[in-house]
Amino acid sequence: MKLRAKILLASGLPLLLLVAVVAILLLQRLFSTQLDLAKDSIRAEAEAIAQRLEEENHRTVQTAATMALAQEHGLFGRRVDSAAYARAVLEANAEFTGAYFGYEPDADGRDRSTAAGLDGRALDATGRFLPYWFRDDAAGGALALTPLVDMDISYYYRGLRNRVSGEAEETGISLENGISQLYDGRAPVAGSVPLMITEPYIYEGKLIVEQTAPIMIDGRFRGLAGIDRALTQIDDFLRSQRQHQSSEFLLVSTRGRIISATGSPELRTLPLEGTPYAPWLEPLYRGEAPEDVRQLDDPLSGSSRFVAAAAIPTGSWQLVVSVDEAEILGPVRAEVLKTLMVILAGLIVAAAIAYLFTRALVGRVEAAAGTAEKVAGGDLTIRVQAEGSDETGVLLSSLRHMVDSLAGLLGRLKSSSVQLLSTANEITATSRKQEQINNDIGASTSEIAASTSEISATAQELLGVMREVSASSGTTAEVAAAGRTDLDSLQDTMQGLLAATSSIAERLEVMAQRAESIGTVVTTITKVADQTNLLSLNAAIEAEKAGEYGAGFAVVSREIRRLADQAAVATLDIGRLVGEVQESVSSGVAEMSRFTARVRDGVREVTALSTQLGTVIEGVESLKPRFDAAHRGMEAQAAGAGQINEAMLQLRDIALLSGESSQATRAASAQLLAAVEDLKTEIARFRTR
Amino acid sequence: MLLVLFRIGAERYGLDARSLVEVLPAVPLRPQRGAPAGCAGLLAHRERTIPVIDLTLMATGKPAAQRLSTRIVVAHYRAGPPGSRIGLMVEEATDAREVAAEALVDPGIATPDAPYLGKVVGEGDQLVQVVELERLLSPELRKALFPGSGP
Repeated sequence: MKLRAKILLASGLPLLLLVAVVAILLLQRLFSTQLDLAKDSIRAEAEAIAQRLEEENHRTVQTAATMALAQEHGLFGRRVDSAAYARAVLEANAEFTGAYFGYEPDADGRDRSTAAGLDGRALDATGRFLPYWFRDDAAGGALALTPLVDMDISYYYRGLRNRVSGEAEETGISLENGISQLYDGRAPVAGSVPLMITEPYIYEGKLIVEQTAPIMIDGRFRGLAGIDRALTQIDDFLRSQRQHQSSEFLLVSTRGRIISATGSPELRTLPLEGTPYAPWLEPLYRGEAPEDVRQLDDPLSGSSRFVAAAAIPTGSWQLVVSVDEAEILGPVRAEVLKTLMVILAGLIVAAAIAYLFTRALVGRVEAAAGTAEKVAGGDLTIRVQAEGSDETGVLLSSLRHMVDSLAGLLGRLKSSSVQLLSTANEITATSRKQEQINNDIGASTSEIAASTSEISATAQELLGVMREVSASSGTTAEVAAAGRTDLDSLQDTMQGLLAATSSIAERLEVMAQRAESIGTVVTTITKVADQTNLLSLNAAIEAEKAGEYGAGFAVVSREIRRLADQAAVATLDIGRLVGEVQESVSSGVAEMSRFTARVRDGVREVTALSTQLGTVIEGVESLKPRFDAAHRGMEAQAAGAGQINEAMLQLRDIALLSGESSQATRAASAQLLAAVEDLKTEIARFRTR
Repeated sequence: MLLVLFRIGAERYGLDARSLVEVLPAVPLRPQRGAPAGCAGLLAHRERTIPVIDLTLMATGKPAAQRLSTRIVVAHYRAGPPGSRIGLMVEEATDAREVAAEALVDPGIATPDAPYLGKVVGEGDQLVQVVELERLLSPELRKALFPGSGP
């Protein structure tokens, strides 16, 4: 790994890890905080809208309760005033669509007597007082009066009466689409006096909700006071209140029916369990849903949404707000991404600074390494650039100093080695010359010594021989005479031997011829045996082909083949023996002819010897006196030669010793020369300025 | 069955006597120039001309030694045209042995380079391997020596 990478790794990696860990923690934290804020905003939206609905419900139902209170405290039975009062309430409250009283049949005992000034439209056919003031859309919103209807089958009347008398609320009630099966009898409005908020229902194209309060006199239910409110614009109201672009709302009534569904209006008035939103609404209606804002999949669109719920106590309604996930998470993610970009930008700047610093540092170290490498390679011509006062600057200036010192040292070494070389060469030349001279001396003395020792030895030998010759020359003559007689008898014996060898050679020739004729016979026998074998083989083949009939014949052919083989083996042995005999005989013949020739030569030589011996004997006798004179002269000469020889040997030894020492000098100077050459080569490696 | 024995190198081999016509001494053959390797020459036999194969040359690459015991075995060649014959020059063809057909066993080693080697039988202290005449010649050699034969 390069130095730069190591530094970057050592300094950058832990920092990078630290930053990464901190960034991850930070981003995680940021994400959850932002998400919590977004969730809080959804919850706040739900609660704010629920608060507004609560206020309206509360005011409406309280108005109804106030009207009932007026009946209970003096107005009851005053039909004209009561009808006028209901009209005044409607006139005073533009958001109401209807205001009314409804008496039980003949509750005030005036059903059959007509009150003066009372509008007949406030009574039904039996004269029962049921004045219902409402805004007539057909007449441009002018107030109109009509008697109440459906008292015995509707929540606003029968439901309230059931509650007051302690019966089940829904007894005898008929309502389109029915109520939720999950309804548990909860009261629409909590409190000691039972107040009624009916299920919103569609009447003349409007979604109507009725709020009624009982008129209780002497503990008996005498009738009721009521306010109608139209919810037609509730979807628009909810939309106008929303705080998120993609907010959608669901509003659930007391008895589990959908009051409003901004995303799908067709669900209105349906019991919640029959709608696609049952999975969201059922736990909420049962009071089992957690309060937290949850992330749920929209059953209709399938998209993921954040869902918050809020309760509306008056009417016991439930409001659900759902916001598209993208709208919540989009800004959160954008925030996280922005933070991440800032962190990355910071990291890149830090990395760039670290890289630039490392490059400057490593550049100097690399320069130092390059210089050191060139010096190692012998290049001392380089100049080192040393800057800065830090450690790398000190390193580079030290290197420059080192290179300069080395160059100076090498210059001095070069000149010294040249001087040394010439000195060594001189020594070598001198010692070689001296050795040559010594060798010459040694060789010359050796030659002389050899010559003189030869002379001396020859003289000694000659002296001995002369002594013997002179001693024996006397007796020689006598011996020679006797020798001549012996030679004559030897000559005769040799002649006899010659005759015998000739006859042996002749007999051997005869033997060789016989052996050859035996060989011819053996070959013939072999051929016959071979033919027999061949015949018997073919006979066996024929017998095999003949099958059973040839069986006997096959036996015979096998026997013949066996006999033929035996004959062949026997003849083979005889042939081998004959061959051996032939070989012996022919070598014998050759030997004999050589022997005969030698005997002949011997005879001839013996004859010649005998003749020469005669001449020798005569000469020997005349030599003796001359031998004696020569003997004496030679003795003197031998003694002189011995002395010269000894002197020369001494001289040669001295020359040899001197030669050895000069040889040693030359070897030493050669070693010196080689060492100086090595030194020169080493120095030559370095190039200096 | 009767096996006529011979040698290739040091090993002994046998030919079924029923497929043989005759054993002849190694008479001089008329050499056929340009003949395929293994063909030793032509033999005049009972007014026919028969190609002679040197089995030793075919198996070992060296021609058969010139000895008295080196002979030419004339056999029916049933893989050739009807009635065709072939001569085999073999060494030491001097003996024949009667062997029981059940004694012959498969050697158990495939010899794709020498498809003519057949079953073996113990004979004394040596094994004798039967040479199958029909598989002796390679298709090329058979075509060259017996032009009239099948593919």
